[in-house]
Amino acid sequence: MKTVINSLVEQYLETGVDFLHVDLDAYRDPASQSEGPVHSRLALRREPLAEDADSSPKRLDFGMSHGAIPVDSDFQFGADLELAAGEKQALLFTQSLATVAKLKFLCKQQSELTLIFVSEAASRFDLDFELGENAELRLNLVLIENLELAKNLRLKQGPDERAIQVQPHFTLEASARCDLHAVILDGNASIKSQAELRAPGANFNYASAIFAHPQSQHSYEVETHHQAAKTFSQIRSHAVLDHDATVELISRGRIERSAAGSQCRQDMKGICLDETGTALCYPLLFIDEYDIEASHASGVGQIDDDSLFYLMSRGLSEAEAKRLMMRAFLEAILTGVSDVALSSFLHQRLDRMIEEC
Amino acid sequence: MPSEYREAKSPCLEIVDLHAEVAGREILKGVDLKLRGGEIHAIMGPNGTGKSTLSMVLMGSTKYEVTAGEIRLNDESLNEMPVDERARRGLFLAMQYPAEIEGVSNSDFLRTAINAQRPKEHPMGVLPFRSELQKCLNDLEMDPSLPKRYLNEGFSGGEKKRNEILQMKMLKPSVALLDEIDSGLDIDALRIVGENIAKMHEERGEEMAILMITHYERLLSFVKPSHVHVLMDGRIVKSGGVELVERLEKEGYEWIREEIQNNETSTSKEA
Repeated sequence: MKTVINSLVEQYLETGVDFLHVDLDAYRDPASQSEGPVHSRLALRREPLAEDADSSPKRLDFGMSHGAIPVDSDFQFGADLELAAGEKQALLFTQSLATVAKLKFLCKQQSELTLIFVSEAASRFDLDFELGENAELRLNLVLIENLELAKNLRLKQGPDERAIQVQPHFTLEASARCDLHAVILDGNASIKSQAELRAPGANFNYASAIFAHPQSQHSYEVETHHQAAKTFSQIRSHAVLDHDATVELISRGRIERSAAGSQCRQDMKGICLDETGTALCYPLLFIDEYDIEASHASGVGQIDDDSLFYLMSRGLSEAEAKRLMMRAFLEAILTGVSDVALSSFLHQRLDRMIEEC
Repeated sequence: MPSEYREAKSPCLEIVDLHAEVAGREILKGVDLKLRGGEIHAIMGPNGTGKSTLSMVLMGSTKYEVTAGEIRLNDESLNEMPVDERARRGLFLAMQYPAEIEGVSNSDFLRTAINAQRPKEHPMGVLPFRSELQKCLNDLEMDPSLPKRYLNEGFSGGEKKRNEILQMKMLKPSVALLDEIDSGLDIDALRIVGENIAKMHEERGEEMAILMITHYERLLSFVKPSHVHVLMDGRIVKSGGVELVERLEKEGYEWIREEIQNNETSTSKEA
């Protein structure tokens, strides 16, 4: 994990993006002897907020030198975090102990945010994003997990235990737009997203790229709820499954009667590298309005033989051709990751994983 | 490998009594053919007689099973050789329906393909690659944005065929198999494709042999074949020169069927 963290930090240092490494272990109550998860509402703080404490939204303005937060820093995520307009910001969360954390982000203008979760412990993150009228948010979400831990967790607590669970919830007001790219290139993970499109013009785009390690288990659920006219949502998921991996992709589009002129599109694809992988796709549409456009598509299979033949007919070996196709399949999503440092890191990691499989 | 890395300068492709089947149905029923460097062979014939099957079998598609006969390139048997090795030996197939592969850019793919066919210690440099690619794009009058676009994705039919010729120009094969390269092309695209094939043949001379599958005379007005064959019912039933094409354009294939029938009748009478 240290190698991963250092690699990420190095990438960001080179780009000059406002970057903060949040070591959640530093916020654990030192008096607590509990081995269970630490619950921390809206705060990754070491001290409880006093009753009269100022809880107005804090601007997410790091203004700090890069690196881990010192243990004795008085920097607090004590309240809602307002994203800085027109700026790119990245938060890296690491923890070695079980954690449950809640974070709330306010987006009023155009912002770009990267959230990276590197976990060595079973953890859950509940994220709330409120996008005001005409706000635009480009959000990159990455989950990296300790594979050995994940395997042990499953053995100890049963197959449904996921090492990292992230649950982002979005509310979008009039003409607000959110483009979310979620990338998981490692062990077990679960993302359960929900987007409420509350006013006309609200636009939510979700794209995920998953490379499921051998014997890993993943579950990804996305729900878009069209509550007003002329709202738009698009969900795309591409998953590559290595030996004996399981990936569940559920997308749910709900269109209310009030949502005339809305569009809802879903597209989920899984490639299994051999017969032992299991990809489960559930594209669901619940429509209560006639005047809309909706589509859903899903496909699961192995690497396309015709494409493989085409590449091999140009001299690529079967292994080279398969690697190229796996890379290409996920690149279709990765190309949308707006954070250059993150993109570079992800491509390197993906290349290594593909070489090893 | 590109011509400067291949051993034999003038290729020779021999197809000897080739039988092949798909899903238990025999399609090729004894094809004999010999191509030498510098030659252009055109294969014509009615639909469903095995022309595309022949090109796929030569390239090594595992959808087809060779049940008898042999394919030899420069005296080396290709029968057991996988697709990629045949390509590295100098075989190239311009496909009738090129695959679309999202996520792989044309330029990345081309460079990977070129380097797959070169010794590892001699990869093609970025600058020479870009320079050659630009020249080929200009020759084929193709959109300059093509290198960045995904492989064949969103391409029109004509663009896909020109992209096949672009790859052929960059990879410089010893034997080029062109499967209906003219299908779906408008008048201008046909001219561009035809002229480029003809030019490549002229420049490479004996270093390259071409096997073209086509239905119509129009491509052959740009790329003049040295040999013309008619494939019917899984066999080559007629061979000749350009005059064969002219007669086919005027009379179709019926006269050939009658000839075959008459020959079979005479043979059985003699027996």
